[in-house]
Amino acid sequence: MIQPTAKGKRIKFMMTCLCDAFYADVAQASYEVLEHLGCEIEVPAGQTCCGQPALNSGEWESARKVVRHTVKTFGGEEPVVIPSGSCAAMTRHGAILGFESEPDLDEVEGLARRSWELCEYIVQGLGIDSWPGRFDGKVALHRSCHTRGTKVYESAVTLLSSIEGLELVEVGELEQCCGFGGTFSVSFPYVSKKMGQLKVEHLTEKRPNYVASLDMACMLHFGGMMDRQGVKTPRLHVSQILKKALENR
Amino acid sequence: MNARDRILSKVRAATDPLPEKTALPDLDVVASIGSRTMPDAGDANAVCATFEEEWTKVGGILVNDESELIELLKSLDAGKGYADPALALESLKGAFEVDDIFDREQVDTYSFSITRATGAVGETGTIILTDGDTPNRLSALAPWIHVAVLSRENIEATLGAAIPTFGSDPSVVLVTGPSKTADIEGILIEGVHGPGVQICLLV
Amino acid sequence: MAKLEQAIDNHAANLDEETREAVRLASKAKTEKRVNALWTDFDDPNALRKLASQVRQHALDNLPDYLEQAEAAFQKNGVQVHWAEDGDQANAIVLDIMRRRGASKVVKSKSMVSEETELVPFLEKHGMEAVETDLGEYVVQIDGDHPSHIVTPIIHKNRRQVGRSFEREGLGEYTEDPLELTRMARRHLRQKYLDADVGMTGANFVVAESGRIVLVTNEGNARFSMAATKTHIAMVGIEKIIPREQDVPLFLSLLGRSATGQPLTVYTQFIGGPKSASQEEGPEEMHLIFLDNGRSDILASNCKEILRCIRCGACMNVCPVYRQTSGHAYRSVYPGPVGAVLSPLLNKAGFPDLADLPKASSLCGACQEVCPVDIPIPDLLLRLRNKGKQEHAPKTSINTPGLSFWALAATQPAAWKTGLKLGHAMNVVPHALLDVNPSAKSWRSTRELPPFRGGDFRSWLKAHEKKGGAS
Repeated sequence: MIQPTAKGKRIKFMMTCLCDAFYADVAQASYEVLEHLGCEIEVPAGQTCCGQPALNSGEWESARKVVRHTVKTFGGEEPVVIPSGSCAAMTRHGAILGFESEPDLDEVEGLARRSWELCEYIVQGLGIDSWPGRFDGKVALHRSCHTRGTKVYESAVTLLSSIEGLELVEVGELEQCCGFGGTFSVSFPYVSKKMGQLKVEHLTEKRPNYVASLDMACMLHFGGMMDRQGVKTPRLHVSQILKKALENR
Repeated sequence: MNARDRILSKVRAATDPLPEKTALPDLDVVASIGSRTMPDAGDANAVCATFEEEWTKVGGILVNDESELIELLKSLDAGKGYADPALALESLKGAFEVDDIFDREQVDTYSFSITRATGAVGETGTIILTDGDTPNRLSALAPWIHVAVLSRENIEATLGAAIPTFGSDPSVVLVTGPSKTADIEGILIEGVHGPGVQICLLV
Repeated sequence: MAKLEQAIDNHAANLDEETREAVRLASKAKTEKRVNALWTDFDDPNALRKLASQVRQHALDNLPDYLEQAEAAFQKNGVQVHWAEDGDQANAIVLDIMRRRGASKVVKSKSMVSEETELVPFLEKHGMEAVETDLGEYVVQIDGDHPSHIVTPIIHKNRRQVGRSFEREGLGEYTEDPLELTRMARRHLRQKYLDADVGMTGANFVVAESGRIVLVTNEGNARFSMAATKTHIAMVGIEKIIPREQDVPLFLSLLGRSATGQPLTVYTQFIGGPKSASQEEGPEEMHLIFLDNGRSDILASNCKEILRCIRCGACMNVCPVYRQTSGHAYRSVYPGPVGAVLSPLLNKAGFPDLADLPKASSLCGACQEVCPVDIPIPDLLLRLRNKGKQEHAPKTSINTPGLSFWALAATQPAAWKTGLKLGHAMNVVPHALLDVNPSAKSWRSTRELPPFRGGDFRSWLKAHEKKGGAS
C-alpha cells in the first residue's frame, strides 16, 4: 500500500460513486469539513468511480479503462481527498496491481501518492489531532477492512475521541469484515448475510447511540441489514460527526 | 532427462528471468529476534532461572536432586522403570525396580524412564534430546513419565545458541512440555503418544 | 432467499448450525490466542513477519541452487534423495521403497503433501497397511472423511461423533470424554507404531545448509514414527526450503504462535539421516522425496508468493468466510484463503473446476494481516479472478453481475450523469419489480437499499458555489 505524500490545502475532492448515487449528505459533510479547515477544494465534474468493482470482479481490462479515466480526471499535483478508505485503497494499491505490466503505471502511482482518506488527510496530512465542538453520545466505530495497512482507522479514532461529549465504545472482533465485498454480497448472499449479522451484533452490542463508518460501502451493507432487521440505531459517516461537532461550538 | 533434471530445469526456467532476486537478510538480523522471555546470554544464573520458569510454564516439572525425584515418582505411583545406566542413579535403584536395558517387547511395562538431556533452551523452556545421549529412542518416549537429567551448564539462552551444539547428530528432539493434543473440540489433553508427565532433573 | 449458485455459499447454507458454530468459535479462539502470543512476546511482530517473508522469498527466488545444495547435504548425511514430478510418481517411489525393504506396514504423521498425492488410499490399494497417527487424522481416516483444516483436521467434528467412531472401530466402549478418547487412541496406535516397518512424515522446513528436515508436532507422533520403525520416508514439497539452520528459530517462533499460540510446539525435531550407529532403535534408512506437483508452474506464475506459505492455518482461522463454511466447502486439500489460491493452481488442468474458490472472499485482507510470511493473499485472489476471466472459466462469473456496461458509463462523464438521473426512477419503482435483476434480488433477500439520490451532491455544490462557498 503506497502511503500518500502530497501536502497542502489546495485539494481535489473525490466524492466516490456511492456518495454520488446514494449518500449526497456524506459528500456534503465531507466537503464542509474540508471547507472549515480552509481548504481550497476542486470537485472535478468528470469524476465517476475509482474502478474497484471491475478490478474485484477480475475484469481488469474494464478496470484499467476506469482507472485511466480517474487518473486523467484527477490530474495535477494536489492531494486528492476521499471520504472512503476503500476507494483510497483502490487508488493506492488495487489500481497499481491492475497496472503492473502497463506502460502508464507511473501515472497511476502518481495518483496513489496523492490519495488520502479524509480522516487520514486531516490527522496525518494536516497534522491536526483534535477536533473542536461537541457531539453527545456513545459511538461504535466500524473499522472498515480496506483501511488495513494505513493510518486511516487510528486517525479517525484520534479525531473522534478528541470531541467533547463523544464516547467511543468497544467493538468486538474489529478485524472481521461486515460481509460486503462488493459483488461478493450478491454472489455469496448466504455467507455475506451471516457475516453481516455478526457485524451488526458487534456494532450494537454496547448499545451505542450511533454507529459510525469510514466507508459508505460497508454501511450500505450492514446498514441495509439493520434496516431489514429493524435495528434503529442511527448511522453516520465520520465526516457527519465532525460536521455536527462543528455546529455545536 | 530424469524427474530430478526436469524439475530442476523447470524451477530454473521460473527463477532465471527474475529481474532481481530478494536478498537474504543478514544472519545477525535474523538471529537477533528474541522474545520478551529471552534471558541475557552472558548471565548463566539468569539463563537457568528463565529455563526453570519457562519449563514450568509449559507444563514440565522440575526437581533438583535424586531424592526429590524419588519422592515425586512415589507420589505418582511409579512402578518399574528404565534408566540410562550411564547416569548411575544408585539411590533410585534402591527405591524402584530399574532396568538398564529398554526392552521394546515390554514397552508398556515401564512406568517411567530416565535419560540424559544433551542441553536445554532457556527462552522457550525446552530440553534437548539427541541420538548421541539417548541409548534408546523409545525409552525416552514410550513410558508415561519421562525424566530428563540436565546439567545446568548445558542450558543455552536461545534456540539459535543451541543449534551449533547439535553437531552432526541425526536426530535432535526439542521437547517443550508433555505430549498434548487439542484435536477434539479444542480441549487440551496431555499425554497423547508421548509422555504425559515430563520431568527435568537439574544437576 | 435467492438461489445459491456458488458452491461454497451453498455448502455454507447447508452446514448444520452446530458444526458452523463449533468451527466459528474454535477459529475465533485460535485467532485470539495467536494475537495474544505474538503481541505479548514481541514488541513488533510485524517486523518478524516481514523478515520471515524475505527469507522465504529469497529461498524461492534462488530455489534451484538451494535444492541442489540441499540434495548434496542430505546425501552427505546418508539420506537417499528422490524426485517426483507429480503425486503418482511420489506414491510409486514410496511403494518401491517399501517393497524393496520387504515392508508392509506404515505409520504416518500428519502431512498435507501426502494428502495431495492421496498416498494412504494408494498404499492400501497395493496391499499395504497405512495408519494415520495424528489423533485428528486418525479419526478422519477411520471415518473415510477429509481434513477440514490443515492444523486441526477434525474441527468439524464433535466428541460424540469421535466416540461413536471409536466404538465402531473396536477401540473401546462408547464414551464422549475427550480424555478417555485420547487414551483409547494412545493404546491403539502404540501397537501400530511398534508393528510398523516404515515411518512416513512430511517436513515443516527443509534446511539446505545442513541437510536436515525440521518437523513439529504436539502429540509426539512423528517422533514415535521415527523411534519404532526401521525406515523413514519424508515427502516434502520442493518449496519448503530454508537456507540456513540459523533461520529456523525465526520460523519456529512464528509457526507455533500463528498456528496454536505456542512459543514452540511440544516436539520439534531436527532430522538429518538414519539413526546413529550406537542407537538401539530407529530407522536404518532415511529417504527424502522432493515433490513438485505443480509447484514449479506456480513459481513461474504471478502467484508465486503463495509458495512462501508455512502451513500455520492462521489465515483460515481469521477468515470470516472459512468461519461460516468450514473447510470441506473448498473441495480440496488446502481450505481457506491459502487454499483459495493454492488449490486452483496446484492442478493446472483442474483450474476451471476450482475457479470459484478465489471468488469466495470479500477481499477483507484479514488473511494477509495474520500471515507469518506476509503473503498478499487478497492480491493473489484478484490475479486469479482475472485469470479466470481471461480463460473464460465459467465458475469465475457465477452470480456476478457483468461490469462492462458499467465500465463504459464510468469512462464517459455524460453517460454517467445521465445514469445518475435515470437512477432516481428506482425510488418510485416498487422494489418487487427491481428483483427481475438477479443481483438486486440477491441483495434485497437480506438487506434494504437506501433511497437513490443520484447527483444530489452535485446540485448542492452548484448552489453552494453560487452562494460563494462557506459563509
